[in-house]
Amino acid sequence: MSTLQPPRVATWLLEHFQSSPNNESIAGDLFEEYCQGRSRIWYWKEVLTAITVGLCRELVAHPVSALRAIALAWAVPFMYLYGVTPFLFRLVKPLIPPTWFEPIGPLLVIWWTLDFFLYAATGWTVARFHRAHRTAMVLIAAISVFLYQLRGLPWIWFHAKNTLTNTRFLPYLLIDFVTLILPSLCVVVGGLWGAALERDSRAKEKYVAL
Amino acid sequence: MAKRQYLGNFELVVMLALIRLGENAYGVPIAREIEVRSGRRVSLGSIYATLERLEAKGLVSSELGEPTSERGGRAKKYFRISGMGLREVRATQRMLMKSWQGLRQLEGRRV
Repeated sequence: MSTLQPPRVATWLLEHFQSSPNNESIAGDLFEEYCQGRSRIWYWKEVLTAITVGLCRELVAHPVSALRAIALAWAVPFMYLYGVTPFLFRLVKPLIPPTWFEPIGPLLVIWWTLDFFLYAATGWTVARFHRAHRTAMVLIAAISVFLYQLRGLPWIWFHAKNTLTNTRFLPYLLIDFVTLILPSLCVVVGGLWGAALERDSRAKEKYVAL
Repeated sequence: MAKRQYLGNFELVVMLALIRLGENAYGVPIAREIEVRSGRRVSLGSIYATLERLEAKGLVSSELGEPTSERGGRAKKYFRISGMGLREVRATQRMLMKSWQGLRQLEGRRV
């Protein structure tokens, strides 16, 4: 047996995000090819292609589910951002010390923490509502959230340009990047969390039945 | 009149590879066979997506082998063309031959 081990992260991604029923066979084929001398780049390319192909196939086969996943992924944050947050902010603003409003301050940490839970809950909900096509739907939801977050690109460009001449803008640039990536990443984390919980409860049910 | 759904280009290539490989048709040899015959490098993900589609149409059947250590403890999935699949390949061949006939621009030229 070869001692070669394919890239672990890529294998993990394949195992968790490939929505094909032939997931295991694909992983086995890639392992076999990698042990016969294929490169790491080849392995990564194959993994990413397999995930993308699986995602596209699910999108074409279940467009209604995909639309529902996108609607869910957008509805919850929209309600939170434009319904709950302004009201909550008005309520607690007098209690917040002025220093908390600094670019990287406690208020931002609280904001990001709330964001994390909100988007993770969104991913979890999408996973729960689409059990048959969970992986693909969570990924589609995450991609749609990421595309929505791209509206912040002009700000990233503005802050990146100004950071070159004035480092004062660096924290703003970092905030922009986190704001761009965090929501979609949280949707994926929430989706995986929902899937893991379901696997656990199924295993427990099997154990009790035995 | 009911419309006949012919095989797509890549579907046909995969089906022909299955016919050539016979009993030993699983992901890796299928990819190699396609690469040798067509000169095209194809990803395993797209081969499996095509095979899943063909299996759903009943043109291909599959069988899971034993897990082996050379594959990290994962099983091979063997694919085999069905009778209906073979008929579909013949029908596509006939259709392509008919489409080819009488095209003077393509006569006497080697591709």
